[in-house]
Amino acid sequence: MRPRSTPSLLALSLTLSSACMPTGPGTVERTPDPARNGSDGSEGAYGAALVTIQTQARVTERVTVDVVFPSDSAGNLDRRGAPYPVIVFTQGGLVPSDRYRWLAKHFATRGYVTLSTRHVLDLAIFQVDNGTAALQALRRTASTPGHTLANAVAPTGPVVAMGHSLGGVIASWQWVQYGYAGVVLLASFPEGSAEVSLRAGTPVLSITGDRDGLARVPDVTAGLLRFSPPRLLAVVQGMNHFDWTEGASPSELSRDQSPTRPQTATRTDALRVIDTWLDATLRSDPQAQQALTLGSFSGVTVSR
Amino acid sequence: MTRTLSSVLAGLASLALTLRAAPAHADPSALRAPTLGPAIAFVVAAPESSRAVWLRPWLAITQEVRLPFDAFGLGVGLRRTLAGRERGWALDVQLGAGFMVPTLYPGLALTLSPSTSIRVRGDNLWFSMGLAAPAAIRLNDTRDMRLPLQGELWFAFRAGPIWLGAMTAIGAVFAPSQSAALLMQGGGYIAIPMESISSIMTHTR
Repeated sequence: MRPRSTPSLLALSLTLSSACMPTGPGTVERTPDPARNGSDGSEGAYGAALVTIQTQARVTERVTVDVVFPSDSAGNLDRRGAPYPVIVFTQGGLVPSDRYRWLAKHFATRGYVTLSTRHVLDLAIFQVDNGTAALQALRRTASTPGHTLANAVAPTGPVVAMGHSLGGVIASWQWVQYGYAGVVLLASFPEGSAEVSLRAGTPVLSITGDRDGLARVPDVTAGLLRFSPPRLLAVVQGMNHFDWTEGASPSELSRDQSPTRPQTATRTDALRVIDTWLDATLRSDPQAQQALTLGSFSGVTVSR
Repeated sequence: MTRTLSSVLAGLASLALTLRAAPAHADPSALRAPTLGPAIAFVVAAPESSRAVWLRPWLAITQEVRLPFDAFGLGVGLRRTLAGRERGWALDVQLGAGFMVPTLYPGLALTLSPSTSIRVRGDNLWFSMGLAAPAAIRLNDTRDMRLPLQGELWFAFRAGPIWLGAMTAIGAVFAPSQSAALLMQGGGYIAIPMESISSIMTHTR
């Protein structure tokens, strides 16, 4: 019983693996529009395109990564602003990552690359390091000449972790473990044993809605107080837990409180804060830093 | 009757031979599949399938594939019964070692798979439970490794000269500076004694 099939298997596998690495344009999710200025919670001028890459964590485990990046109208990387800062996004528990695509598209139009990994059972808690494996894969891909994502991100460019609900728990862990530049918790708070004090001095944004039925404001507030400054708590008026996701099911909504304002309004208010925080943290934008210091955002109550 | 049985065995053998390349995790789990003497054991499982060709009662060649072709490996396996006997209960240990080629993040990895199991075997049934630690370390990026610890159950029944059964495993994968990740494995297997294969070949020639 000679293992004669090994060479042919190797060839087949390499062929299949190379097929997983796109070199053409991404799927256009949003076309560019110079009229959009990206201010006040609105989209920016870039288009947004999606590419899915595959990598491996812990030697063998497949990690599928959706990368949404600033693009031109054909889905190619818009290289005018490259390399772009990176957001490593982690989905909430049992919520497929594509239900947060609206956020990734928004960030892409404003000049950020967002990567989100898919997890077994849509539970990132079982594979908390996959986001970092995805980041390493993105950086390798960005250093591959000819690839769609070539030069999209810098080898040691700035990164923040962001996550919704259970994903915020994971994002906090990644921020501590991998030294990201900051962390954004969407309707979330860190788990009790997270050693957040290790990252004292790096910025934290915790944002939630006052109608959130799962991550209630007192819990989110208590969670924020575990972080050291600079920290910011933003409470969006009338927003609930699943306003952060697309396509919330009746079962999910039954566990949540009812929002008291239209979703478009609460999302715009939330994005105004997040955009400002990202610009201040990842681009060191002085105007954004000043706006954060002032802390005056329509429809949002800010505290520290 | 004999002719029918031979046809069935020939069919199963053909299926097994066809699957030989398809059935791999960095884990040649077929090393732990219920067999005793020289035999071929195929484990068709998700996410990893494997084959062990027992050339001697204690020595095997192993192949593994993590589907869908995310990694595949080749190695050798050893086993020894520390206590007990062929029928009834026994305590076994197995050790696999080899190489693995991950394909999505291409490279080469070294694999080492120590395991131990307690089995109870009757004439027609086989049950075993054990612990395995099928580890791998990537040679082209030595920060990347997997150090799993998994508990597993095997159940098998005899169908003529072959053994058919199912296995399941659950555990955690550890890696330096990382949090533990969930590990799950499940599938079926077939073990065909070498003497049966010889017989099949003779009858179908």
